[in-house]
Amino acid sequence: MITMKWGLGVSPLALALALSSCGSTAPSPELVEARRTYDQVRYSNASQFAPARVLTAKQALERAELAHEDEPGSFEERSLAYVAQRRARLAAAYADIERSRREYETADQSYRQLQEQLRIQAQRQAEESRGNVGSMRQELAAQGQQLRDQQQQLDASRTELELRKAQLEKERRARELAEKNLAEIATVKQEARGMVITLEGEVLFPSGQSNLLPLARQRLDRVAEVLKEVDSSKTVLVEGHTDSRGSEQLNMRLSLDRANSVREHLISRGMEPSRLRAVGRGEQEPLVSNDSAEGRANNRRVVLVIQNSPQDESERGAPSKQEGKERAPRTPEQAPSK
Amino acid sequence: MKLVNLSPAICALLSSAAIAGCGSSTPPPNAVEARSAISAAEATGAQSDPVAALHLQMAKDQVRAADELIREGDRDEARLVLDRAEVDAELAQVLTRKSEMRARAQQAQQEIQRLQQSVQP
Repeated sequence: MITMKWGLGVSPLALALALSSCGSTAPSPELVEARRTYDQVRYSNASQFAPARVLTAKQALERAELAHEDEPGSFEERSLAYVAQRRARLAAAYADIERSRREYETADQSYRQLQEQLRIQAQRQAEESRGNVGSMRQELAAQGQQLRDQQQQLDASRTELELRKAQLEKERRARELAEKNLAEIATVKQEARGMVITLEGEVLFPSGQSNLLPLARQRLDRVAEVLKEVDSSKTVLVEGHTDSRGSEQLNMRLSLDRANSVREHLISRGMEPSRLRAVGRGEQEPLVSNDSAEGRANNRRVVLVIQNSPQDESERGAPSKQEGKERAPRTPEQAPSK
Repeated sequence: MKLVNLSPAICALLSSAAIAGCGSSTPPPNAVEARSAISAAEATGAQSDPVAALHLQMAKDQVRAADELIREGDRDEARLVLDRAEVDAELAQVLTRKSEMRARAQQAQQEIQRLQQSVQP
């Protein structure tokens, strides 16, 4: 098809060339092209990548050259030159293939190295995150321990609170009991120093005396019942008070004697002596004015103070003694319980 | 370019053969090697590569021309033409492989760049 197409225009020229080329030494266009192509290949890096192919190309060119020398412009020369030109191009192509193959191998090698790197990197990350999980677990364990400790503390303080509550409840019940049982015979008040039970002097003692009236004994029995309900750690202070009639000294004596009478009666009803202290206050602490008979009657009295022990500071038992000692210098008139 | 170089050669061959009649008949040439080279080039996919496809076509044309020469009794010329056909077919095949190898190497290098980016951060 190509030959036919070209045949129309070129054949006469080719014919002329063929006829006139017999004596000429000029190389055919094919040989020129073959030389040029081979030179290009020879000076390229093809010999480095495909030396055998370059040699083949050289030999092909040599054959064409021989044919040219033999018969310049011959069909053989042209055909062999044509082949030689292809051989040169083939050498270039083979060299190109080899170069690409080496590039590919290098790339493949780095690819595998990179993959290995990536694998190691991923492994390291996995180990790191495993480590993180481990330390987080430790942290959690530590926090768990802390929580358990706090829980224990909380439990402890809750227990203490329960105890405290129970104690308060007991005190409340004692007060209720005191208020109920002693309503007719005494006044019951809650003061800062403790629960205060005030008994009228008139119902306890004959005038100017410190021996208890029979009715007084019954009343004090009821007081003793109440006191037994009270926390056994609490000290009960028994204060005797008089009105302002008579000498101060005498009144002091009388008040102390009366307090001691009450104390002793309470002991006889089963109260522990160490819990009871008796003091005489004489006429020093009147409730109201001594100007009227009614006022003086109110000032004559025996007061029982169920003393609040300082719970937070010391253990039970200890405060009562401590308090006793502290109080002693303030009330020098106090007589030691007999 | 190649086509221009080739065609006058064929014309020259045909005309010189016709005029000089210098064909001496030794062993009869056959197109077996040329045809198998063409098959190999086609198997490689030479049709899809423009330059390779051109050489494949040249190879086929020359085999046809050689057949004609054989019919006319120009055995030596036919042998030379068949050599050209064979080398063109081989060139078609090798050029195709060259393109493939280049593409493969480039692809591998791109793959490496992609991997390197994922290694760096």
